Amino acid sequence: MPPGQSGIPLPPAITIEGLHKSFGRLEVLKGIDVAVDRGEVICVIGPSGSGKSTLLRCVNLLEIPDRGRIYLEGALVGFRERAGGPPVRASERELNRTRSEIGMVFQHFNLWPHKTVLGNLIEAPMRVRKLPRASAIELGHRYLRKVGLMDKVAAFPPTLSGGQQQRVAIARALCMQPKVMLFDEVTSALDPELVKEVLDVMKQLAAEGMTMLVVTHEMGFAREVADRVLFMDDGVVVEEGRPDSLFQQPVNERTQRFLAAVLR
Amino acid sequence: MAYQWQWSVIWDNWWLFVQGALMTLFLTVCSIGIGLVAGLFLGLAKLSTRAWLRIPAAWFVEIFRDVPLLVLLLWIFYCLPILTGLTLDIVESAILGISIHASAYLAEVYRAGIQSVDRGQMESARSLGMSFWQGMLRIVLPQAVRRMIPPFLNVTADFMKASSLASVVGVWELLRQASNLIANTWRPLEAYTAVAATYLMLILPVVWLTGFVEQRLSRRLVTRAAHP
Repeated sequence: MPPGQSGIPLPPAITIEGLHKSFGRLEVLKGIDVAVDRGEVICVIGPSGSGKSTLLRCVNLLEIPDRGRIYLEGALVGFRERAGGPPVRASERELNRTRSEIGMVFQHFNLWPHKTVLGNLIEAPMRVRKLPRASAIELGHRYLRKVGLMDKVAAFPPTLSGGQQQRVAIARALCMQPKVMLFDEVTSALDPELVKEVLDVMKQLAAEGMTMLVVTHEMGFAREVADRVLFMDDGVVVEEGRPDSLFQQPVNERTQRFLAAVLR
Repeated sequence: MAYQWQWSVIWDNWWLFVQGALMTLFLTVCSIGIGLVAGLFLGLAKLSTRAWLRIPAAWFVEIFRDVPLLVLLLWIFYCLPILTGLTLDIVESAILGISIHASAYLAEVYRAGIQSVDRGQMESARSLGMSFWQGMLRIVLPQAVRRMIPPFLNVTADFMKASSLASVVGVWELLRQASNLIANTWRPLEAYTAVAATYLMLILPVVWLTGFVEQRLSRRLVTRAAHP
C-alpha cells in the first residue's frame, strides 16, 4: 500500500472481496478477490465466458454484485454499511456518483451517433458534474488533443474509423476525470491495423499513472504494459502474477493450456 | 340511369364541413397529444425490469389494443357514468376513448423504437454516471424518436380516420355533420363524397409528411456514411 502525503498508507484504488455474481442459475463470478493499487495496470486474461467482462461491469456497477464487496479508494461502493447487519444497496444517486468516478470503455465503443465527437465528450461533464458548457468544452478539447483527434471535433461518430471511435470513447471516459479506468476488450472489434493506435493511447495513460483494469486478448500489450496479469477461468482468478513470470512460467495447468493456445 | 349530382348542397353548407373538419382535427390533436405522453410512460413501463410496472402496462396495452374503438367509446359514454358517477360530455368521452386507444398503440411504437436502440447506448450513459432519465431523454429517445416519426405519423393518420367513430356518441365531427346534412337534404352521394374528399385533404398532408421524413432520414444516413 503506497503511503499518502501524511505518511498514512493510502487504500488501494480498487479492492474486490469475495465477489459473486449470477445470472439466473448461471454463476458467472464465484468469489473474486483482487486489489488494484493506485497507478497500477492490471490486465485480465482468460477464455470467453470466464467472467472477465462481468467483473468489470460489477466494478462499474452496471451489474450489481450478489455477494462480496468492492471498495473504491477505501470506500464501499454499490452498498451502504449498516450497523449490526449486512450492507444495504446504495441509492440510485449514490450508484450514479460512483459510476461517474470509474471510467469504462467498451468493446463496441458505444458512442452516441446523434451527437458530434465534442457532443459525446461534454454531455456527461455538463449533466453529471454540472460543469458550465465552456469548461466542459475546454475539458473535451484537452482530452481530444490527448487522443490525437482534435481535427474530428465536429465529426459524427459513424464517420470515423473504428480506431478513431475507440479513441473518442477513451477521451469521453477521461473527461469525467475518473479515479480508475476499466477497459473491456477495447480492441476486439477493431481491424488489426487499427489496434495499435488504441493501444498507444492506453500505454500513454498507463505511463501517466492512471489506474487501469484491462480485460484484453492483446497478450503483447499485457506483457509490455501490465504491472500484474490475472488469469480468470470459470468465474475465479486461477492465477496472477507479474507478466514475465505468468507468461513464461505459468504454474496452473489451466493457465498453461490457455497460454499455449493463444500464444501459439 | 345517370345520377343527377347536386353539388350546390355541399357549396351551400360548406361551413358544416369546415366545422366537422375542425372537430375532427381537435379530436385527433387532443387524443394523439395525450396518447404521446401516456404512451411514452406505458412504453417505458413495458420495458421496465420491475414487474409491478411492466405487468399492468402490458395488460393495459393488450386490452385496449384488442377492444374495438367503437366499443370502447360506447362503453365510456354509457357505462362509465353509471359505474363511477363521472359525467363527461360527448367530446370529453370521445377524447378519453380515442386517447386510451392511441396510448396503447403509441406505447408499442415507443417500445419498439426504444428497443431498436442498441443497449450499449444506455450503458455508456450510465457508466458515465448519468441517471436513467438523463440517459433516456438525452441519449436513447433522441435516437429512437427519429425511427419512430414515420410510425407516429401513420398512427396519427389512422386515428384521424378513426375519429369518425365519435359520431356514434354524438360528437359533431365531419361524419356526423354530413349525416345530419343528408337527413335534411336527402343527398347522401354528394355528402359522403364530400366527407371522403375532406378526409383526404386532412390526411394527405400527414401521408406526404411521413414520406418526406422517411426520405430525409434515410438521405441523412447515406450522406453521413458517404462523407466521413
